[in-house]
Amino acid sequence: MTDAEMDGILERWSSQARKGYFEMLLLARLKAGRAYGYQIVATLKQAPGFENLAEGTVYPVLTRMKKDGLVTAEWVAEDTGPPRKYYTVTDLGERTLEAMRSIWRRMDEVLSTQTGKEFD
Amino acid sequence: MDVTLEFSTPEARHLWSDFLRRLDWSNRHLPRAEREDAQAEAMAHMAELIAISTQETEADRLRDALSRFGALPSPPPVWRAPLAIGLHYLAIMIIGATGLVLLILLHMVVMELFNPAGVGLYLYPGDPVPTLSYENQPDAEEVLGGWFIPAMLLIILATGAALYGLWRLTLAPTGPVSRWMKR
Repeated sequence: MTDAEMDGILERWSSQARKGYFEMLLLARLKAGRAYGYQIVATLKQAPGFENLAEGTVYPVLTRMKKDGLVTAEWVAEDTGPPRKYYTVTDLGERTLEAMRSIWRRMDEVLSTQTGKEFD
Repeated sequence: MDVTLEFSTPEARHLWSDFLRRLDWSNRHLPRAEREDAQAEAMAHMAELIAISTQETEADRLRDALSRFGALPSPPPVWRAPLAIGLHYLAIMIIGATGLVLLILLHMVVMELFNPAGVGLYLYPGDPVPTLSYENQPDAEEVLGGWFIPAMLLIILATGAALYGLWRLTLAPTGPVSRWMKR
């Protein structure tokens, strides 16, 4: 297998993985404090694989999370610049994040165990 | 929430109106209030991006912001939905009328089994169009003879397949024309 072929496989895997932990990252960011879209995107872009995130893609996910009751949203007028819509994580959102983290940790444990066996 | 952005150059105004058009199309599935809210939020985000852009001209700052926001799908041309509706009803008529002809041909095939000497496709002298008949036509020449049933079945199968293709294209819920009608 060539490096280019492996890059293609990694890109496909990475794209699917990103979709999987996108909501978890959003909830984690909002657990740290309420934030508006631009701030959320700035945090997301620090995560591996999200450096070139199309910033508009965050809003449909936030809208869905709001409908699911994971976050609430509130417009706040600013002294300078446009008004900002701030998102706050709900109790359900926090519990969902904890459940997601638990699954993530279990996945990591299984992965570590399997990798350990393979190389023993 | 009311968010407005104004641009002074025609180029920037053109880019902005195109963005708004695409944004509206992207959010078309949302109820009106939610659509307006989503539009205001996207515009507020664009205002942030424009404010931090280091490009020199207004249009370039907007382009920079648009590129960071991400490409939005373009709405289809305005003529596509009426065209789809026209094609849809035309296909219904074609399939209905042709289907009826195929039923007649099938009926003639069955009749040929009972009356092979009479049923057939006849060509009258001076008439270029052949005629289907239940009875032997003394003044006319029978065109297909023993090949009547295979030829009719072949016509029925080929035309039926073509009609099925037309149905898939124009009337099936997952076909392109049905999708165009739903916009």
